[in-house]
Amino acid sequence: MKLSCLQENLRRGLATVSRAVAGKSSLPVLANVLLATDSGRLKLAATNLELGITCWIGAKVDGDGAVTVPARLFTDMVGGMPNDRVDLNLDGRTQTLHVACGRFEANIKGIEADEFPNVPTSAGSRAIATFPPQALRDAIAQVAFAAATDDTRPVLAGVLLRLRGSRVQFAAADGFRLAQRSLELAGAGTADQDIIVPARTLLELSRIIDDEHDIEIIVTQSQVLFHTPSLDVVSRLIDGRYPDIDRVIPTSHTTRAVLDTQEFAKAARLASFVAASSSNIVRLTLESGGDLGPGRVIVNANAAEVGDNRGALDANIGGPGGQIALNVKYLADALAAMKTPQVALEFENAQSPAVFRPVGADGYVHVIMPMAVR
Amino acid sequence: MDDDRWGIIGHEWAIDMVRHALRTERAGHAYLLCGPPAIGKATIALRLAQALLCGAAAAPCGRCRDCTRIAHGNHPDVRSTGLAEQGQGLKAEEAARQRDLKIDSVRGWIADLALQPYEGRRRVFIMHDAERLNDSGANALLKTLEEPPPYAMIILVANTTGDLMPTIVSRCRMLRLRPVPRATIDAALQSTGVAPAEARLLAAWSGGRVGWALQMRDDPAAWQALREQLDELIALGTLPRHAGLEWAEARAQAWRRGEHAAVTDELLRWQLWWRDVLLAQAGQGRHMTHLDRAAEAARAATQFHIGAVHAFLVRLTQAHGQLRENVNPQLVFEGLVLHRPRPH
Repeated sequence: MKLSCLQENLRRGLATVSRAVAGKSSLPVLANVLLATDSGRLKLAATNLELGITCWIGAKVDGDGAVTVPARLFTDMVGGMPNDRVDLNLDGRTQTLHVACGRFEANIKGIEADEFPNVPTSAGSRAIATFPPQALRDAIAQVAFAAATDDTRPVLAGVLLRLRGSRVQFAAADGFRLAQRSLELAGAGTADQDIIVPARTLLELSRIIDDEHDIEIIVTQSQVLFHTPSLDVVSRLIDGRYPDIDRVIPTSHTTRAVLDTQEFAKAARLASFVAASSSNIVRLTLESGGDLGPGRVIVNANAAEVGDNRGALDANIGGPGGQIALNVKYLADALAAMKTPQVALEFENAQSPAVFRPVGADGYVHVIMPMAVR
Repeated sequence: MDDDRWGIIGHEWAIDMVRHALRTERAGHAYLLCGPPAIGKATIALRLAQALLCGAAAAPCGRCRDCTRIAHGNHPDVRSTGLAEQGQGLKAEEAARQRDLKIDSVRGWIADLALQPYEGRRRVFIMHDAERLNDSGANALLKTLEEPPPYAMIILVANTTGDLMPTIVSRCRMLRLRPVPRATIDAALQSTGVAPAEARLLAAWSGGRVGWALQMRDDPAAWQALREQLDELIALGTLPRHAGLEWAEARAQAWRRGEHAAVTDELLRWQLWWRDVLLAQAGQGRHMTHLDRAAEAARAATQFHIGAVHAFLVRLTQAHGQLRENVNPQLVFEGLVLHRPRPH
């Protein structure tokens, strides 16, 4: 392998793939990044088996080849080199990579590229859906945070992608809350399919995709590939059956309140300081204004040892009103995911889940289970 | 592999059994390989993984990309855990001092089980040092062990089964490996180019532990050190009492520093030496472990009373147990020195 490329491109490429380098792994080769020539470009790839990132950068290739080198070392070394042309030259016998840039040069001992796990490619597969980058990023931001962070139920650490024709649903739940977002795609999908993608993967994906290219989704037997011309993100799918989310989302409500999203978020934030000392409990009291005018929502947190906090918000309330106790952290997360100036809160009674919907925008719903308060 | 034995020395019955199970597609979902250290358990576990994942008709071929990556520990569908993996990132002496396989290691390993195969059709999960599982780790394993996903095969590797919970043992197919016959190791060593006299000696010293013999073949310095250790232990039999007590104190200190494995091995070596003496007294010298010390053993055989030698062997066995049960190490070693057989 013999090639040259620009330090800046190489540095950026390494920064992109290094998020997938396994920090601590039982496979030594996973601490390495794969460098390979690929039709006139340099391919960089890293994987921790759950998440794999491949990116291509422009290079002048004088000889084909591939090798893996320790990711940390190589990234640090390239980062410290001047913004100039970098020459990479592999000694195939000793698997040592010679790196030269300006007046600096270095030799890095690598591991054979054959030892590196296969990284799936888009070749020969058809995309089941294509997303505009901004829409995908929004959907991930609105849903992925609701996935479980512990591993007690592996499927809940993932985000369900449910493809139905040209409609795609993103859903995540951790047993206490559920977020669901629907998207209409421009092109019709190929087949109806449900896949569970680890939430971590989606968060990484939304961080590294650029705004120029649409993202194609390709599903193989046990993996999903997010593909753009210069970047591939591969993730293992989570095996298992996702709980039936449609049964969790209540279909009816007795009380509906429409509030200003910003004000509500501010009140939740204030309440959270006190609620932190009382299991994060915040009480919402919905007082219907009757015929006289708009109603009020009282946001109240109370900790015996610390003190209390009370905020009153104007709201349009339909129905009898009532009281519900929620985890303030979940409330704040739900409000942060709303993109509209107003949010609707729907519920039946103190024991039924609270449903949040953006007002004036379809396709997003957030459900929070109530807390039992005596 | 060119032979029917997966390139493994000894354990023919075990290999046959597993091969037959694989051929008839009736392999279990979980195996428990147990037997003395360095006997070939981990190698069999690796071969089993290769047999499952190798694409060749005569799997495992040992040459394809899958096989070589499994051998190098770089195959994405083979996941191992054990004290070595758990000790990654620790300082060397801290890693050596680990006693339990902790629940976090088990949980990480189980979480990985939920993921489907990365490249092939199957995944193999190997747990070394399973006898070191602590209670919470073992309990965390039970459910997975009972009903792993269809693509997963679990292989537990343990030195003894006595320390494992019976509920774990009963969920696995057990392969209890026994020490390999001396002649088999002898022949295997000779076929790798070891001189016949050396091969015979290594085979005898190994006590049926193939891995140990191969390790010593590749590390002459370590073997030389062991032979010097034996010299010291033989001399210890006739040393004056104060010198013996100094030896005891040094061993107690090493034990307290956490060098349990080294101290246990030394005790075992001493025990094997007295066994040699006992064998010489019984006229069974050809079964001796330390064949090169036959003359010294014969001399000792006439020096000591057979009853005293036997009693001391029993005491050495008890010492192992006492150390495991946290008896004051200095008292254990001093007790041994003070009760050495006396020459008549």
